[in-house]
Amino acid sequence: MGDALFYVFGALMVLFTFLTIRARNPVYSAIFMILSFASTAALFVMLDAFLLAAVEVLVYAGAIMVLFLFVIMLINLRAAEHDGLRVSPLVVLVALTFLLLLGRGIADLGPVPAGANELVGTPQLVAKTLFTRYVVPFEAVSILLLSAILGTVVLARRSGEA
Amino acid sequence: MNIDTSQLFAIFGVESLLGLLGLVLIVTDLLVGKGRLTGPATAVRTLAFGGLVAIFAWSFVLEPGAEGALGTLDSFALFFKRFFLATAVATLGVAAPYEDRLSAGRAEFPTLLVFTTLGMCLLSSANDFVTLFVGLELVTVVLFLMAAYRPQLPRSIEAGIKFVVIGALSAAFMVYGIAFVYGTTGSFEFSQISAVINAQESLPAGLKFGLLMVLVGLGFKLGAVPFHIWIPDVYQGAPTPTTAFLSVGSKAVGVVLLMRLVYTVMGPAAAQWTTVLAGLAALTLLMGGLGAIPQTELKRFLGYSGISHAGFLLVALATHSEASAGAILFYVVTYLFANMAAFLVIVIVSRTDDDNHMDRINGLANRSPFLALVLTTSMLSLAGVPPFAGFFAKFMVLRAAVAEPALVWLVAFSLLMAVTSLYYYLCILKRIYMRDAVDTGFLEISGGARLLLLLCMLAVFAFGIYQQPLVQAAEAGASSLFR
Amino acid sequence: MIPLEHWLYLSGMVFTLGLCGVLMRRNVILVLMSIEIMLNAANLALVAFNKYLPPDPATGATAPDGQVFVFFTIAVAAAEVAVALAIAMALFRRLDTVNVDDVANLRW
Repeated sequence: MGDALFYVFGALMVLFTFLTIRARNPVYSAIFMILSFASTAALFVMLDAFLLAAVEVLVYAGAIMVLFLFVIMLINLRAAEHDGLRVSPLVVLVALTFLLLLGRGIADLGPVPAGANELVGTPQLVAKTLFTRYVVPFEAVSILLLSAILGTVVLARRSGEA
Repeated sequence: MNIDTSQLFAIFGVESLLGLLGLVLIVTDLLVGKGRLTGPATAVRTLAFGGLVAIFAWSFVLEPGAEGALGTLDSFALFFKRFFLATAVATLGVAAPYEDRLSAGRAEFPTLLVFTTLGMCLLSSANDFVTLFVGLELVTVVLFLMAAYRPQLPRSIEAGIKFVVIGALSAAFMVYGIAFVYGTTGSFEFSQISAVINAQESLPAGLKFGLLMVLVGLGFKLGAVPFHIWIPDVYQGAPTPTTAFLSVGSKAVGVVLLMRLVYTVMGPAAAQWTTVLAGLAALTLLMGGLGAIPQTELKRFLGYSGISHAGFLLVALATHSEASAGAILFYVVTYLFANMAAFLVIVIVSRTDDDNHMDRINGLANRSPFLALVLTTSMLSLAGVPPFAGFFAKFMVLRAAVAEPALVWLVAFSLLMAVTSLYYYLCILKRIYMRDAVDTGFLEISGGARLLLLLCMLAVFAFGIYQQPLVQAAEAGASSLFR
Repeated sequence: MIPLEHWLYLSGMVFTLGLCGVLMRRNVILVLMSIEIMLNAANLALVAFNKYLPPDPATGATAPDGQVFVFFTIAVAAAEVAVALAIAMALFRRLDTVNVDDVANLRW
């Protein structure tokens, strides 16, 4: 049962991602992307990463995608891209090279990965690691968010003087 | 796991002070500037300058050696912390005469600069891929903002958007690579990854794939071919102080992390990557050398020049010896002085507008002999002409590389490219001394700018003639990578 | 139980789709969304790897390092998107376009 769900949600994730990059209308793209993130959250649950599943829905599908939708609406991006997708031999070449390297990498992961372990991503466990072992990058992220706010305020001003 | 707070502050003292300084700057801006976005930012700029200089001075009191699970303060990290602080101080110097051209966010510019410097210092102490990723993103995201800092100028905003797309793309590759390194070694920590790598006869393809993707991500920062495409446009479009900071800081960030990864994490196993790095080095040298020739825009020209310097740094990385690591450290310092001087001259000669066409320096020798002398020194040092510091830096890199028989072809090729590059640096000198001035307006050089230019010029001279102190510092810095 | 390889093939497929999106779309907003897809695929790989790592012999349990890393990528992605969209908005206000082909410097 659990295994079948992996293939269901995996297929959904690929399908919605494909629709995201394919849709002519940016609003459709954003909606498909939210669905793709929702499938990812379901897959996180299957990996016992419960807290992350919640964060994925709240932050990714919630906050980040709303930001995207907001900007799409704000600049009134209804018009579809006029000449469609840009497909060139280069795109195919880059994608195929990447897939080839990746396939070889996945086929030979070395001795370290073992079978599935008992790890369950509860809030306590994740928070404990986050605030002890990774407290320095955590503080760095707070600085990052602060400077992002600071800089966006400067950029977002109406350009009164040219 | 318990955290030893005093140890934490011993390792991350510089970063804590920089964070504090940034917060003080924000509060000062709110109190003094009363929340206005325009108007002079003298208070904030002075405070930022004083704070950075004080932290820079304090960093010389620090002793290397503090080490913990969360980070490391070895002599290598300390060397680069001082380097990044010096870069930030010099960037403030370049920004001061430019401030009038920023219509908004004058007070925020030093604050953002302090926060990026924090990220850079953090990176030099990084001990694991989590800190590496977060620090790198702190640096790049703030640099995105600083590149698009004049949104009323189409060029600046275009530079910003191009930088964002390419930077975010490289971050995505990097995260994917880190995932594979993590999955195949079981840890984010450099020491444990190194242990796993060097315990195996040949690396599994999954780990190689991960390391390759991480190298791709760092290649973007360094500006190595084929990840250099953003450099000319972003250098040209971004406000000049940002370009100055980007050219030295972002490159040094790539250097710090590549050195940590290649020398410490991969260790002896890095020998398998020599061919890859040497190939990249040759391509980068070629691209930088050929790309610079047709340029007529000063900042774009310095962008291509920076690409060929990245090529020289890659030659040293491919060599993989303690001597070459020391050479890299020496190289970046000489690059800092020569580059900062060049960008400050650009700010001054472009006066009030942002037209940085090469015509602006025509006849500079008649208009301002001082600026002409500084720019000449800096160009000759970048070109690697004796007796300037840049010559000795290139000499150290090539001397280390020639010891490796497999790299003799690369040394020969680098020499060829160095000689070729002389041509376009001499073209600049020809404009300074032989052409008639196009722009005859008065060049205003403030006292601070004069001091900074003089300092850079003296450093380029001094380290070219009497290299010993810097060589010793560089070798001491590099030695801690090879323990 | 699903083998680790299947998780990785799934994440690889999504990552490649995102990469194709970056290369093929002309709209900056869509390019940024494609990059988010790539990051999301990388997150899936991180969590999957974390689930399949052997326990630490000292503690007998696997540390949730991979999951913590995903936290950081999500937080960083949020900041990055905010900055990127602010710049895209400024681009739109200035040049009335978000089409990468209309931006002279953006041809690559």
